Amino acid sequence: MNLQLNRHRPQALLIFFLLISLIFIVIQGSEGKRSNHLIHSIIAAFSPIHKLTINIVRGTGYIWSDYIALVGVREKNKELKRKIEYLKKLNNQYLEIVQANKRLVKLLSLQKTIDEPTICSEIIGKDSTNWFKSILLDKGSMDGVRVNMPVVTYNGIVGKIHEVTNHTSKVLLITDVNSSIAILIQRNRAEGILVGSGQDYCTIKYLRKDVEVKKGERVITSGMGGFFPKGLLVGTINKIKKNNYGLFQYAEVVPEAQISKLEEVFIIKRNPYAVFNLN
Amino acid sequence: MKNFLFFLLLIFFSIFFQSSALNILAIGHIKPDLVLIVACYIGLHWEEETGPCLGFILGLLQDVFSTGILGLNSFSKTLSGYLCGKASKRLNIKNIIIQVIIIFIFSIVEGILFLSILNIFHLQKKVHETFFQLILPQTIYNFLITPFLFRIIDFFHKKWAV
Repeated sequence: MNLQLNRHRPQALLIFFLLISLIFIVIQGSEGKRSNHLIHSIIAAFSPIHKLTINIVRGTGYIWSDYIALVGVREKNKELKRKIEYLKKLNNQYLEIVQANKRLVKLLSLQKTIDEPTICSEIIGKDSTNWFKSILLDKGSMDGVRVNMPVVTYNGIVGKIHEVTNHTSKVLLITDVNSSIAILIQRNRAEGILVGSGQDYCTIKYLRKDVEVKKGERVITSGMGGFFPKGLLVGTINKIKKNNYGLFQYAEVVPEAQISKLEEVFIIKRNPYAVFNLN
Repeated sequence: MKNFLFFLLLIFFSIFFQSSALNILAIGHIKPDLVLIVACYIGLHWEEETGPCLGFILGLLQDVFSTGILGLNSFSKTLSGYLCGKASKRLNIKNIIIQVIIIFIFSIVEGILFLSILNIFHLQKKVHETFFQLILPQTIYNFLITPFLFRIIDFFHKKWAV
């Protein structure tokens, strides 16, 4: 009897572990959420190692980028200086507009402010598979981070908080297939839903075919849904396709935030449920 | 005891490399599935029951560090660990060609399994695009690094474990 049991032990173990995995898959796949103490404890246990590794990797990367990969930098430097001058001019104009806008907002007695408190956070890990797009941050619920808070960089939105532990949080990037954000085309205010493609770009759903959209146009958040503040830069239109059939056109957007090269991000401390009055 | 410590270190390093350091080796945002290669290595080199056990632990940890469905990787890695254990009895696992063919097959099968499960839950729709832009490049990447990775693990295995 014992001999029989021993002989079938690998098969029994296989069935047992496959069953556990299947139970996880079915529960998570149907509920679409994951949150339990075991997962959070494992992430918390690994976060110091992640921090250490990312610093070592970054250090190696700096040696490469600062010393070895400097061929042809002089020409690039000249070009960048010209760009900086141009951007300084643009920035000055922009600041003037912001000031004017603030004054107008006050004049109209709107009780909204565009500035919201932020938390600066460092990226300590990235998704362990090629199938999903997420990053791990070194700030958690103890620092005031909550699920659904928007994550941005200085040049565009990155994603939103998906899971939070005490000292870490996971961000679902805008390029993930499960991400969807309400957006506007900045020039003509055409609305759409930005969804991730699982690649480096996003696509716009439900963009009406009769709206004229050009390559290079800027896409911003519309503020609908309440998760993202209105007017944050998302990216630029890279490709447009209109079919003869259907009501909508296809557009590809390249995120402005260089997601693969991110090191630090800002988490906007806004109540994600404010719009729905759930709190 | 030495074996146990070796397993522990193998799990530990493969998980933290997969979720952090390995990102610098990504080519066009595709990185190799180090965890799959390690699960197969364990299945090929240890007793039959070690493969599914460690495959499950490795897969579960990989799931924890991903935003995907929990259980997806633990399922595929358990199966890979077990089948590699079975294959090791019939094949010459010291042969480098056998090793890379095994990894190639398991990478493709894992990719198709993922795609099927994700499609069941309506999470990944573009089958054709996903196969050619994700599964195939990852399989080729896994295929290419397997000989080096197997040698590295072999080296530490011979040095530390029994």
